[in-house]
Amino acid sequence: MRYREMIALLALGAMLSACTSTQKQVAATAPVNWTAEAGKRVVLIEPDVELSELTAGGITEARADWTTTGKNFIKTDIASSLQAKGIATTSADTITDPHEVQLVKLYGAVGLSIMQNAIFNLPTKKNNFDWTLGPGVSALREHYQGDYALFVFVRDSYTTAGRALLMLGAAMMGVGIQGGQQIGFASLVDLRTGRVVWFNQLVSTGGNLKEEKPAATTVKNLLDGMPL
Amino acid sequence: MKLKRALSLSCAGLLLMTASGQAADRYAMPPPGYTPDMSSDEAGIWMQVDKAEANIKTSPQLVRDEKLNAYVGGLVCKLAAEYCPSIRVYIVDVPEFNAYAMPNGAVVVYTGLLLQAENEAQLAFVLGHEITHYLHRHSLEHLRMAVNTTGFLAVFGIAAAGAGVGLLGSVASLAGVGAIYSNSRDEERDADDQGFRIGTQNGYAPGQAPAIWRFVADEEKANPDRSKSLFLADHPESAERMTTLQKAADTAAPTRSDWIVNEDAFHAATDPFVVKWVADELSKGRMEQSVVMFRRLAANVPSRGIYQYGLGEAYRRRNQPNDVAAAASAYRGALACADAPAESWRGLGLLAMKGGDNAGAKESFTQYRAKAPDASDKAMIDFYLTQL
Repeated sequence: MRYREMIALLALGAMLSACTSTQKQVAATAPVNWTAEAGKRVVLIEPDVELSELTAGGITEARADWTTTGKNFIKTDIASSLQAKGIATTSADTITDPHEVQLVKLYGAVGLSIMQNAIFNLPTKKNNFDWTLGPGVSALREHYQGDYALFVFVRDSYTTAGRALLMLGAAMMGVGIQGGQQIGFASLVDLRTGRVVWFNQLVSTGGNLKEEKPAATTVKNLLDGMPL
Repeated sequence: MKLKRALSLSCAGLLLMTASGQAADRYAMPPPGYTPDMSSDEAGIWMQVDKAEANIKTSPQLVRDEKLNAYVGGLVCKLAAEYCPSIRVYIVDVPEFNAYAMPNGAVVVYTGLLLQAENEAQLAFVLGHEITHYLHRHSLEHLRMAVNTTGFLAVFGIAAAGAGVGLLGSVASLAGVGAIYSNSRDEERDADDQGFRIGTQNGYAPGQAPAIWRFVADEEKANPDRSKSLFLADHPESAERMTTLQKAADTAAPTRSDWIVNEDAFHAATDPFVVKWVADELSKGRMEQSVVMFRRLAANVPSRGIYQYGLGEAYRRRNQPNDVAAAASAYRGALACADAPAESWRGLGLLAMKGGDNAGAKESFTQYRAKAPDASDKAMIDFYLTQL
């Protein structure tokens, strides 16, 4: 029991000292505008979410149950925060059309490039945020009837008790061992032009997508600075 | 490198059926319709594998032809019996002799396997082997071990790179993806054993099981990257398993007189694709093995010109002493068949042109142009004709 209490305290401490940082990029040359002011609609592409357990050995094990829970929180929270702004959402949950599948994969590659570019600047992308998927995205627009698509990617790992103990021991000896962390992004694509109009990157050592309240905080951080 | 990897895959990933021990008892079979407990590590593995399966479903490499899928899927269903609803079959355009089972019940069959198998019995033994891998949850154990050793991120190739994020939900390319579903030697033996049992219980001729192993070994021996006798010397367990398999077949054969091979049904289902699969095989550029393979297929079904054409192409491109004569003879054999590919004329023309026989080349190229007026290489052939 004592051991468990200690772990709980430790987890609490870790949560209190958790740091969250977001980094947003907005395409200045692609201002947000709606085709019809009355019918603002965003297509929410099935979020790519994975929750996993970080074992003492530093190995992550995907957890299907946590992932289902976390993904549902993310989807619900996004829909309600957009609704609060008067924007309707359509969920593109299971995309099977080959062209649309390729678009989602293309975004996978582009999103990754944007993230990498935030660390290692490409010479051509220093001051201009002008990423695009090309006009082929209109397929998504026609199918789901929205001006923008929102792509969300989250990888969230949680420290096991064993790992937490290891962290504590190491900390006592002055060594820092990484615990679980949240990495993700949310990004908005104009479905008329293919332009990526906004990209927000999230890195956090805290957060908990398995529970409603902290999940809402994560979504709030993810949507931070969205120009809608 | 790639070639070696593909070959080791095809040897490790499947076939080699023996019927020795009673290893089946060691493996707990899930009940039909099984899904893992959501909080288990198995569910985590399934979650990843489901993504890989979704990727296959939308891949341009997936063969979507209804008839072919009905044939192979129907065969799997028959062999899997009460487990049929738990298993999904995907035929994927990869010119390698391979198939693999994923822990969630997806079975992937490469078109190279369908080109090289000679009859339904051979296909059934391979499928029985793969069904066993699923039912005995072999790759699950393997994946679990790999995850415990190197972690999910490494196994599924979605590592978080630096502070950034790895490839979004992607898996290895389709051709390489089988490697992560490989099995241990003991598991292969178990799948051999049970696969053989499944095949023979369904009435498939036991001798067809060692036959598969034999031709794969023959092709492997032709691989110039290995010394001729080294293959078997390097793999004593393979030799042992081949022997065990032959013994099992010898024992099983007299127990029945009505064993089925179903050569006709197999060819009826696969024939419409053979022209493409032959081109895919040739595109790999491993002519030593292609020569051995097409020699076997052409001898097996002499009435099919496409195999003789493949043999001609393999000889011509291998280009060793005597290959010109062998290629010409194969092309002529192809042209004597009802399904003679027009490209056989092109092959004869190229051989003649190379040998300085301008008149012969002209004659063959003219035939080719007449038989295939819309061929994609017609401009090149027309150019040759102006030079002759």
